[in-house]
Amino acid sequence: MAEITRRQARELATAAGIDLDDARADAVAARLNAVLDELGKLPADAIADAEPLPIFSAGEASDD
Amino acid sequence: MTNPTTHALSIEESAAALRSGNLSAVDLATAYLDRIDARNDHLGAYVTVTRDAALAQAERADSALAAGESRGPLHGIPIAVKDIIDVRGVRTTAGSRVLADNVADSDSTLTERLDAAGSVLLGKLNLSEFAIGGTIDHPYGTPRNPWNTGHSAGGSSSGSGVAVAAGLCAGALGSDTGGSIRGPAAFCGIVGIRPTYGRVTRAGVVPMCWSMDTVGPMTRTVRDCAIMLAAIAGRDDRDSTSSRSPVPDYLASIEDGANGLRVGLPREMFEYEALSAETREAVLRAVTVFEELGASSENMSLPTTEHSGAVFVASADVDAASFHEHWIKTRPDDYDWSTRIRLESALLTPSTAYLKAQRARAKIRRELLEALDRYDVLVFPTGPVTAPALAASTGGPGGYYQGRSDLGRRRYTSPAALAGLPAISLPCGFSSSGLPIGMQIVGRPFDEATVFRAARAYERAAEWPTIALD
Repeated sequence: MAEITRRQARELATAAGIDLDDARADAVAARLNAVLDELGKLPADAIADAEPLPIFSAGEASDD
Repeated sequence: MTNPTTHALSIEESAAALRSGNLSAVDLATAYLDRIDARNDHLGAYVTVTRDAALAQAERADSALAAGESRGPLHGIPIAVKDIIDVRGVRTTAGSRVLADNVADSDSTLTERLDAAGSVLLGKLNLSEFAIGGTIDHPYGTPRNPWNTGHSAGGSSSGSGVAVAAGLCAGALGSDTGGSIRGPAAFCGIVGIRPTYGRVTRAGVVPMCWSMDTVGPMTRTVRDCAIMLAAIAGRDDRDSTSSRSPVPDYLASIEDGANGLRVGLPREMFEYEALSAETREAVLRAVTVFEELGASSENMSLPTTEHSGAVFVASADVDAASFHEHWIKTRPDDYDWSTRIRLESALLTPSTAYLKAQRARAKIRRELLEALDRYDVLVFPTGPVTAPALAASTGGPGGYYQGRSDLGRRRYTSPAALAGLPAISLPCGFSSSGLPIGMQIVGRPFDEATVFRAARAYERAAEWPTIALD
């Protein structure tokens, strides 16, 4: 389970050039934790044979 | 000559009245403009109303008709577009203070095509800020659900949903990155299609996520939706991702019925713990209608779609953050609190999580395409619940767009977005509190024709109202 804290969120943000107050740091941490937790539930073998999907160009009907 | 229900006519009915001379384009546009004047302050549908330009377009449409010239089924029809779509000389705000003074210096290809089709542009429609759902403070007015103005119209194409359902335009364009056409269509009780990625140009449209953004019509009938899509679809050299695949005549097969259609019912969408009983029952009743019309249905599974909400957010929000990085660092206070949190969170998302999401996205696309080898369409709810109350429908603490519940409900609209597939939402009933329930039909790439055919077969059998009573 991801457990990014308020302090860690603020440190990450500072490194990225963003200034977070406590309320926003809490909200950002909660959102990141929710997304990372959910992605963490994806079994590794479920995507073992999947390569990252790039931006695809209009599917199979494109001649680009 | 207009009457009290002119605003409730479908595009097809309005076009017939224009052709027969029973109605002029100026009268039709005026009827809508008068309704906008009377209702928009409360409903929050429009950001900008282009009254003078609309009436000038309508006069030209009347002159052409008088000379025996018609540009087709949208000739003289009053429409409106989401305010991320450029119209030359009109501001494109994207629903944000960041772009409050952003006047477009050229037309989007979409509005060029709608103009070429003879339609009358009434104005630009409200939305969730930058087409990112969950806006708390709408700077151009709060969009309200016409069926119950204390409830949400959905997002992000909220103004489009409101305007069509309230009779403030005959049809609208919305955009759908992860459900932004289908969600408001479901909440507002109208029809809206997310086309196949690449089917419709995005040139002149403010982006949210480059690999998932689509533009599509929102209307009161399935046939109107097909008419509008035909007008905007097709290759555009201004958008490298637009397809050269020919645009079929959607109306040619739209009345072919559901007989013989194979319908897949994904378990993950019917067994989700937060799916309301009313929504589940309404969609299953609709499946029964399909079977009565000669379709077959079967339960099936799309296992990876359980995680599609997080996969979508980790993909699309990071794309959006890349687009917004400069503004979010230099003008953060011009963003809504909720939008800002989403973008700041996305800027901090680990690259490994982003790539894991891209791998899961590939898996989800594969699951859907394999399923669509066995089934003509997939049918399931557009969302797990009907429109929430306005106060709860934000990305603020405990809101509909916040946290784990946001990721959970996104399983309904994210799969088609992640896979680039066409998906329509149409009404399939009402809750006990009188709010519309939406059903979603997903089809194969570039097979909008079958999606329309299935939707029209159900619509004809069910006949749910798609305009909110005053």
